[in-house]
Amino acid sequence: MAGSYQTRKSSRGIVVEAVCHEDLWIWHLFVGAPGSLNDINVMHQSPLYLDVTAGRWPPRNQSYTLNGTIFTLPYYLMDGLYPLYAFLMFPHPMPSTEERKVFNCLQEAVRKDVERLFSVLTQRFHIALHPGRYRLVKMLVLTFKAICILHNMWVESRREGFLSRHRHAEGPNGGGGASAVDGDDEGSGNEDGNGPDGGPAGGGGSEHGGEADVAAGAAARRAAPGNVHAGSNAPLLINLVVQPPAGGMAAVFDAWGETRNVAEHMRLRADITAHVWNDRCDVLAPYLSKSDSR
Amino acid sequence: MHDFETRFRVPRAVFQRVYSEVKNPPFFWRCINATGCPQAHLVQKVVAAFRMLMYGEAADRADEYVRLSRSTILFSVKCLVACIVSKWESTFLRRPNNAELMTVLYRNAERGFPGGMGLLDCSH
Repeated sequence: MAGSYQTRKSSRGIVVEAVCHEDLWIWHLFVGAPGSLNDINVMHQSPLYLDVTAGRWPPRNQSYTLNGTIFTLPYYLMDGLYPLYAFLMFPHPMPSTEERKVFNCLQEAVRKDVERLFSVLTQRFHIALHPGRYRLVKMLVLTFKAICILHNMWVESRREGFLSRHRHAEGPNGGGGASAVDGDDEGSGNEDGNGPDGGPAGGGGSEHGGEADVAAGAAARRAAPGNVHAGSNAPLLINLVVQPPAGGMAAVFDAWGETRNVAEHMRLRADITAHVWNDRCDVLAPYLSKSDSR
Repeated sequence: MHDFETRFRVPRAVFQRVYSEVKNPPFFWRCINATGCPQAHLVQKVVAAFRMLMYGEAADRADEYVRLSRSTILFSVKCLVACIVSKWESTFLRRPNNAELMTVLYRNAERGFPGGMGLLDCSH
């Protein structure tokens, strides 16, 4: 059994699967798969995959339009060695047309953030570089989870000063909310304050663009510094595993067929490619230097 | 303000939060031993454990700094890790709720991927 933990670099280790956002907030973490598994095997045993293919996640109440087509299943961006499932999105292999090249360029630019996450984690917590210290897989898993929790706390206390927040605030609907709360977390030495809502939804207030939100957020910050309130951030009930499943086994089979549909994946990717091609001036602008954007 | 962070590699807010939480496990209580002397203080144990997590240093390296033995530091790291995970795993490592998912979707749509709800990757 010890051989199953041998990674491709001939050392022993475990595999970490993570989902993160632009500000490196970790939304999903699956750690503990033996090191000899490749990414596909890890994904096939991760709780995220099991939830998606059983229809428990994600919620389907948000539809979005791409190139004139309406989709309801959101997707994850990943690199190109996964199966063609409808909830995964990766670059075109061997792009030949200009549209596909532009899509690949943007997809890799956006996906770069999750590559950055692992570098940031190991730079910040050097114990992730020497994971075998306790010689127990259970302790490895626990330690990495604790590291990720500390990392999320770090992000929460510092995210107001992030560059991505400034970009977000300059967006079309960003409003003055994010820029109004900028600056007091970096400069003043008062590090006890967290985001306006104290939680991962800290940027949510800026979307509504209201000054009242900002004022309420500041009041909440003064009242209760430094706590994520579990009540206001209650996770969705959809995460619960209901036995038997809520919609019956037919719903589970439908979700299984829908999320693993290759044709749906190809359609989605073609539509996103067209969408990116249509918006290429706007979406590629942050990634080009001044000399490129003539 | 960054002096704390250069030493401990973690913002003061995070350290305070962890510190105020780990008072609860009995291992971290300061007790009186058989000779009547007080044992190591909570700050010593937490700082040693943090240094081990942040710098990845050997367990007996912090001896010169906080004057704890190797086994105490190892045990305090285990206690700290278990305490953090049991306390905050449901808060900080969870799926987004509806409002947060909306935020993520909106931001990804702004970046050119409407419907993208995250970036997924594996690391070995």
